[in-house]
Parts: sequence; structure tokens; C-alpha cells
Amino acid sequence: MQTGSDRLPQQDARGAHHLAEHCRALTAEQFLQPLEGFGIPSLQQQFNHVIGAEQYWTSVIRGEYRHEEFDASEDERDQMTIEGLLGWRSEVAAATTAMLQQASTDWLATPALFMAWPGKERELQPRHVMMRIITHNFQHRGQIAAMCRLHGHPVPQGLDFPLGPDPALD
Amino acid sequence: MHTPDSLIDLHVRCHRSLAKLFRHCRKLDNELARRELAGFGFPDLHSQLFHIVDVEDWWMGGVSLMSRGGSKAEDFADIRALDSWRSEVSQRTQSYIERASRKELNEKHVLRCGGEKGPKLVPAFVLMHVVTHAYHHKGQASAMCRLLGHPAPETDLPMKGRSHR
Repeated sequence: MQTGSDRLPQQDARGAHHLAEHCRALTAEQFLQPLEGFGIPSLQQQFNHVIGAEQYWTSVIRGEYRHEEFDASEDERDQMTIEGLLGWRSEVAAATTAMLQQASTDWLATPALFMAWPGKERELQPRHVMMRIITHNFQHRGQIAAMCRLHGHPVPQGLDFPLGPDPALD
Repeated sequence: MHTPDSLIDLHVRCHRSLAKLFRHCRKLDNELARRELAGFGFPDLHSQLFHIVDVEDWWMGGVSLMSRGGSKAEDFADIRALDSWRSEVSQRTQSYIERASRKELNEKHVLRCGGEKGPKLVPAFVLMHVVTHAYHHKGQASAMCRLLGHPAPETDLPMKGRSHR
């Protein structure tokens, strides 16, 4: 059973998808071009970072993170093109949704020890991890929007978190 | 169903992130804080930070029927003044959530924004919008700090500490 804020990723899925779709209009050079002022300097790296962060944090609270097996450079997925990143994003989002559909309110709200980077246990409350994932996503979405503007392709209105529930989820 | 406790917890943690960023930005002088930078809809750091607080003031004032909103960026001399306002607005939001029942937070009601009758919305969703909106613009403010030669510290949503309430 899910409670309010734990449904954030599902409520927001449409906005995240639309933002990636918006970036299809950019050239490959623009998508990969480093821009001054951004710690994560290109659009490709921004998307990669956000999806990777969700994959990492959800693996931690699912108890699936294995530090000794973790090497992002060995991931053979296409992480360089918008097409590849959209596919990866869908996979990760589907796994997050499946996890939340199974999650009990108690599990989400109870602190427990989880194995995390760099191979150390951390006490975490799964609900806080979910909040961290979604707010981290928005932090980088703001930077992606600024980058799109710098590339001459400002994002349209309507990518904010929705002001009402998505009827499809109820 | 959103609970008052989970909403307060999220809101408090969000403002811990914001407080850290605002504290960092207070170190920049007014010339830097108001320098226009290309690529941002709100073109300088002062207006970017103003917008974060203004949106919370507007929407949460509307939800609580206290009809806030209508402040202007020029009303705030510097980022220190914006930070004080941020703290006041945060406190008003928290007081509202503490007073509201679970039912009220999860049912649609007519807002009162800027003294006018506003849309009919669910307060919990409005708060989610406010929090995620803050992070969107916090990301842009962080990029601005880097462009201005003062990279911000890590200000992700803090996960340490017990839940509030």
C-alpha cells in the first residue's frame, strides 16, 4: 500500500517523459555538448545522472545493492542517445513503480540498515529515499531546462509537478 | 492519502536544503546576486531565490485561505532579507499543515490566491508542487552560483535524522 508522497514518481512520470521527448529536437552535438556552469556539464550526462541515481537508490532500499559487483562503466546500455536513455528511464521507472506497489506503509516509514555505497551499511527510511529521488530529479530538471534554453530550445510550460492527482493512478 | 506527518516531514527537509543554499548565497555581494546570466528564465540569483519563496507564499497562502502572495523582488534588499522571508513563509506553511486535518489536506477545496477566488485543488498536491518547484529552481540557483565563481555545497534533500512529529 502506498501513501501520498510515495506515489510521487508515478504522479510525475508524465513530466519526466515529456522533458526527455522535448530534447529529441536537439542535435546529437547539442545533447553531448558540455556547458559552462553545470557540475554535470551536458544534457546527456544530466539524464544519465538522474536515471542512475534512481536506479542506485532503489537498489539500496530493495536490498539489491552489492558494492563488490557495482561498476557503472560495465553497464552496456546505450546511455549516449536520447533513445537509449528513454529506454533505460522506462525500465528504472517501471521497477520503482513495481517496488512501491508491493511496499507497505510500515516498511516505507521504518528506518532500517541498508547496504549502500561505498560498501557500508546506512540507516535509512525508504520513504526519505523516495523523496530524495524525486527532489533530486527536479533539481536536475531545472538544470536541464536551463541547458535547453542555452541551446535555443526552451522547455514548454506544463512540466511542473501536477497540481492535481492523475485519475489514471486512482 | 497524504498524511499531515509525512507532509510536514517533507516540507521541513525541503527547507533544510533551501536554508543551506540561501546561507551560502548570503555570502555573495549584491552586485553578484543581481548579475544577469544567460540561459535562465529568472536571470539573476536574487530573482531566482525570490521566485522559490514567492511560489510557496502564493500557493500555500491560497490553500490556507490567508491570501498571501503579491510580494515583489525589489521589496527585498538582499539575499539575507530573502532568507528571513523564506523562514517566515516556511513557518506559515508548517502552521497550516499542523492545523489541517488529514481529510482537509486530501480533498479539493477552493483556494484564495492573492485576494481572489482561485482554483479548486487538493492541498497535499499543492504542497508537492511547491516542494518540487523549489528543487527545480534550486538546481538553477546552484548552476548560477557556479557561474558566479561560488559553487554551492551539496543541498540534496537530507535523509538523516528522525521524521518530524
